[in-house]
Amino acid sequence: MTSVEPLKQTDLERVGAAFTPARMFAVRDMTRAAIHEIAAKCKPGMVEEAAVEMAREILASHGMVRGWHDVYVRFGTNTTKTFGAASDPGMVLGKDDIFLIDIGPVWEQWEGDGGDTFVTGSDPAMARCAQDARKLFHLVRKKWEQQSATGKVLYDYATDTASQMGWKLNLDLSGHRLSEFPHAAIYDGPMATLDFTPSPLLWVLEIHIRHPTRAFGAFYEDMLLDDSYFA
Amino acid sequence: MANVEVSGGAAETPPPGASRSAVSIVLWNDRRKQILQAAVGGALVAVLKYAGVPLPAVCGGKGVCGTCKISLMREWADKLPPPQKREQRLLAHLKAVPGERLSCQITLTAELDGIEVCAPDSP
Repeated sequence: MTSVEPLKQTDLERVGAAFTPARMFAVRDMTRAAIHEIAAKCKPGMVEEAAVEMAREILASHGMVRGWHDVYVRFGTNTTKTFGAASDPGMVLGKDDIFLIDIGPVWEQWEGDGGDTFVTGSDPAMARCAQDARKLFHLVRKKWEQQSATGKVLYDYATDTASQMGWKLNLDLSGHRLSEFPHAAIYDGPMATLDFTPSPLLWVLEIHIRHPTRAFGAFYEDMLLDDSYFA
Repeated sequence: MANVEVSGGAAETPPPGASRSAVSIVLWNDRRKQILQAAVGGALVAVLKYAGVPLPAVCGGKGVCGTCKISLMREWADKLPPPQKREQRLLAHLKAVPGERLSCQITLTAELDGIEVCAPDSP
């Protein structure tokens, strides 16, 4: 039997010559702004495919034509879909509904990645789901910041905490590297398997929760950074 | 996974067992000519990756990352349906020259039997 070498932090956290914190923060800001611009244009009655096209237009208008992953705007029951899964076609955003946005744009040489969830009406469970995705993101992030937890510990904690909140955590979306394009050349695996504490600015923390019985979910993701970047 | 058979020589006939629904792909890679056989209906990127062409295709064939860009001989480029808006915009962004396409957006059809493809100089 051959033994498997643990993944080394120095290997998995490599960056290339083009990597600069300033550029990574710049593309992060552009990504967050684009998410909110897209969300503001998602209105009840809109078909999901039209929203995805609208999102692509917005990203292109800000110089983010290229992406390291596809653009996802998911409405209603499609919010339960995991990363990369095709949405059920023709989903129309309702007046009392939930939708998520997940984008991975590339600006010049640098990768962005961000996600958030929004509601259109007053369904309390949907509103709480969207809020809890953000809340859980920050709880997990604070555990990283305050306890220097490893990737594994962070997602074990996320799973338990999601359950205590009444949600199911989708571990298909469990964090990953971000860097100059393409980070996949360095490490394409999940953060949830790491035996070390991920460094700031190099990783994305993803939280995708689903309602235990109803067909909707919520998503939030951003770079792994300390409190001062979430004012 | 793509149904691919790779032959390193310049044989122009399909290998034994190749079905009528297979197409030949002539691949120029680092001055070397290879004849690939693949099933109709698949994406060209899958065939090229399977044959060892270093195409990262990090977006998984969604046509958004541009890392599966290849060059086609002019006569073959003209036989393809024109790129859709998304591909057109990305190709322009990548400053692609005529004949360059995203291989993830090319579906192999019987009409493309014999298509000549040049692998990128670098991934």
